[in-house]
Order: sequence, then structure tokens, then C-alpha cells
Amino acid sequence: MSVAYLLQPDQSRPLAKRFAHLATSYFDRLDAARKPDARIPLENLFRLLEMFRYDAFSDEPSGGIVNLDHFEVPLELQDRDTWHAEIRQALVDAFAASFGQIPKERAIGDVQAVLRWLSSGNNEPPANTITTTRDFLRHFEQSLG
Amino acid sequence: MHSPKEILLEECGNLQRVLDETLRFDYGIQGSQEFYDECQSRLAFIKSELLATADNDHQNLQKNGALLHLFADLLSRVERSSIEQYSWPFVDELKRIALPLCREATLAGDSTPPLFFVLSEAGTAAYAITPELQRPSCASRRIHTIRLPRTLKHFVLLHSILGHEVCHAMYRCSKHQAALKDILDRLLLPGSVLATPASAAAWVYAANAPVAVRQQYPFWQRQIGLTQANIWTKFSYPNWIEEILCDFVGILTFGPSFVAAESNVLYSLDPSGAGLGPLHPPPGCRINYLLNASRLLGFSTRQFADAGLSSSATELWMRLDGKRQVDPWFDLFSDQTIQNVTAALTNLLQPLPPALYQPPEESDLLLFTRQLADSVPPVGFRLDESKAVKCRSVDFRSILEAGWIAATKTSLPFSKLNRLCEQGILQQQAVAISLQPP
Repeated sequence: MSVAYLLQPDQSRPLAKRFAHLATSYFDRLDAARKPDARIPLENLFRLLEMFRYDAFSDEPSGGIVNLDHFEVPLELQDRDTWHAEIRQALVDAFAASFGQIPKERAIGDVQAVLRWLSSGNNEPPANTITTTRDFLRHFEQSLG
Repeated sequence: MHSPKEILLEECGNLQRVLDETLRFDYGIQGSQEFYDECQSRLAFIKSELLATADNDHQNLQKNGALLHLFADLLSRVERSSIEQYSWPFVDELKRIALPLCREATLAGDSTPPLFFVLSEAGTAAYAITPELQRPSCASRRIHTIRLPRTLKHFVLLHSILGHEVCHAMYRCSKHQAALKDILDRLLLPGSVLATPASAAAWVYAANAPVAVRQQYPFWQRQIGLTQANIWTKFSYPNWIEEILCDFVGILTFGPSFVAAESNVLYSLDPSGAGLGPLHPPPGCRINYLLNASRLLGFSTRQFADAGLSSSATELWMRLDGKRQVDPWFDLFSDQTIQNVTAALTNLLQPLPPALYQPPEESDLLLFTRQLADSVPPVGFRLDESKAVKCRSVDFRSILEAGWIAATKTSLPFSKLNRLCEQGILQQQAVAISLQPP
């Protein structure tokens, strides 16, 4: 028995919200966006967009070739959809609010291009794409409560 | 007294010291620098988040503390990854297969490989590839863990089972997940007893289920209150289905060696083949559809001109077929379904070389099985008329297949046969280097 057991709630939603907040702040602090620790929020947002693009939110740990620890994992506590349901909805809302009728694929590409530019300083996207992405990130953060 | 925030910041300092001590050495199969850079980014992020958190902001202190805990867990696993504890020639080859399947779009580009490190622990059931989760975390570049049994360090013939695990990593790559799910939903499940959670539950609790299965009902009922009505709240239907998909990828990536490895390992853990598990369907079902797939893919029906090789290969498939469950309850899929699924997966894997298993030339199998019979590591070379050594590249999966075929006739202990095959893989890697243009 370990010294303490705490039920750790899944941190995906608060982390996604924090990442969106940090990324929004980088537009006014481009030097901060290029520091090593800024890769974490920017890469996480990029990855969420990839999951959204392919509707690929299955992310549960697999059990190896066989699982002998039958009683270690209380599966009823593992709701496969809990971690991403709010995030996915927030992405839908933010894209609708910022990109309107622009096709999903193009909108995701635009946001990812801006994230790459923030991280590297290379291939600066058009100003209106940057503005729309900043707006998208702000909406995404707000939609996450 | 220290505040929670001070303790967490202290732990950041501890982790920085561990990071500097640990990754001074060549841990992992890709060297240390990339791991060090990734870990440094993660720690820098967590520390900056902690510094920005107020002392009385318990919610965010807990969130950042959890990130720190996960990072400490990762670092201690990387630290335990030592090249002396696993078959690194095999892992090198496995990585060659896995990397193209796991490349993903990142900030750095559209095809960034993940990082892999290897953990060697426990025994037969330890085989796994644990992909780092995609959900929000402190990860920038993802780090996947290949787990090998410490006790089976040199047993490369059994390591073929990792073909199954490669698919788990692929499934957690966004761009492949949609295609793999499509194969599940469109080709694998329709018409099968596993088509829906309800039909799968009905199959598990069917009146014609084997005695060995029905005997487990009271056990599971006592342990976790399992019934037909609630089975998929306590067991995982999506995991069962994913396991089946991974078996089909396993046979397509490693060929006959995968079938031999999986049937040997699974039955060693569950000799009845009927065991129900929270994450896995009964092994007997898995072996049955793999044997059917072997027939449909032409593995088990392949004819050889050489009588000795033909006899050994026939003997191998006879022994494997002896592991088939005769009760039709264990047969989940029709031949047509298996053909459709393997064809679709082949189309997916084809553009991602060297993922797909290619049947070896008969001459290679003949050479390797003869080398093994002489207790010589199986390597692609011959002496020409002037006694000069002529080497050529051979896929390591051909060595593994030859090893399984040779196992049917040799008096060598299985451990020795594995060592020879491992040495063959290593020497074949040396051959590949020597054949590279200067």
C-alpha cells in the first residue's frame, strides 16, 4: 500500500484550457513562444488538432499481449469518452465561431500553420490567418469553462 | 514547514539532478540527447507552471503536481532502460518496423518519429509497447515504451509477438486510427458474434459456450459482480476489438513467426485457451483466427521443393494446428471476413515499409535451417569458388521463420536455438553495414 491514494481526476480539460491561454499570450511575446518550455502547450494543441482532424480520440492504454493484473484496473472508472468530450465540443464551437463556413480541413491547417510559426518563427502565415487563429484560441479557452 | 508548492519545486530540483545524472549515459536505442532535450522541455514547462501558481491555488497545484509525478515516473523508467537487459539486435529491427507506422504530424514537420525506449521487466507476460497517451500532458514529442521480458532476454523467436504490439502504437497515431477503425467497423465486426457489445455479451454467456468458459462465470460474479448485462462496464469491449485488430497486424508484419510466438506465449499463460479477461478475448479464439488467416494467406499451405524443408515446415504447421480449439464457439470470423480484413490491412501497411512481412526465398530458409542444424547462426552468406565470402542482406523475419521451422527437428535446446537466431540477426546487421556504399 502506498503512503496515500488520491483519485486523480483526468486533467485533460484544464490542461487544454491552460495551453490555449498560454498560446494566446505568445502572440504578444513571440520570444517566449520559441523557448523550450513553450513547445509543450504548442505541441499539445497541435496534437489535439490532429485528433480532431481524424476524429481519433481513442487514447486508452492497451493491455499488452495479455493482462494478468485482472483486479488492478477498475475499468468502470475509466470512461473512455470523459477526457475528450468537452474538448471536442470546445473545438467544434471555436472553429464555428472563428472560421465560420471555412471547411474543417482548411481551418485546422491554418491553425496548425500559425502554431508552427509561433514555435519556430519560420513561414509566417498571412496576417488575417494569424488574427483568426488568435481568435480561435481565445474561443477555445473560453469554451472550456 | 514547507508549503506544498515549495515541496513540488524542491522535487523539480531533484528531477533536474536525476535527469542530468541519468541521461549522461547512452540510455535508450536512439542515444540520449533527444530524450534529454524532450525531458528538459517537460521539466522546464512544469517548473514554470508551478512558479506561476499561487500558494493557495490548490486545484492548479494538484494539476501540476500530477504532471510532475508522471514525469518522475517516466524518468525512472528511462533510467532503468539498460541495453544489457534486452536483445538490442532484435529491438533495432523492431524499431525499424515501428517507426514508419508511428510517424505523426508535429510542430517540427509532417512526419516526425516518436522516441522509443526499452524496458525489460518480469517474465513471459511482459511483452508490450506502451504508447505515450495523446491527450493533453506535459509531452512535446511522444515517448513510447517497448517492454520485453527480462527473463526471456535472448528469446527472439518469442519476441515476434511484438508484431501485435506495434499495432497498438499505430492505433494511437491519429492519422492511422481512423483507417484502422474503418477496417474494424466496416470489415471485421459486421456479421460476427462480436458485432455489437450486446451480441458479444450474448456470445460470452451463450448456452453453448464451452464448460471452461462457463466455469468462470461464478468466479467473475464473485470477484467483480460480472453478469451478461453489465459485462461491458467491467470488461472493455473496445479493448477486446482492438486486440483482435492487433493480432491481424501482427501476422501481417511478422508472418508465421508471429503465429508460432503468440500460440506459445498465450497458451503458456492460459493453457485452457478459454480465459476471459477485462481487456482481451479468450486466447483460443485468437489462435483459431490466426491459424485460419495463416491458411488464407498461404503461410501454412506453402509448398517447398526441398523434401527436408517441406517436412519441417509441415511439422511446424501441424504442431501449431494442434493448438486449435475444436469447439466452434471459439471461431469468431468467417474466412471471407479474414480475407477482407487482411487485404485492407495489407493496403494500409504496404506504403509503410518495411512493415509488411515478405515470405522468404526457399533458398534462404534452406540455408538458415541447415546453418541452425549445424549450430551456426543463420546469416545470408556463402563462399564462392575462390572461397571468398559473399554476403547479402536478408530480412530478420526470415531468420525467425527459419528458427521456428528448425525447432521442429533440432535436438538443440530452445534457448540455444534462440541465441543462434539472435546472433544471426546481429551478424545480419553487420552484413547490412558492410554492404552499404562507402
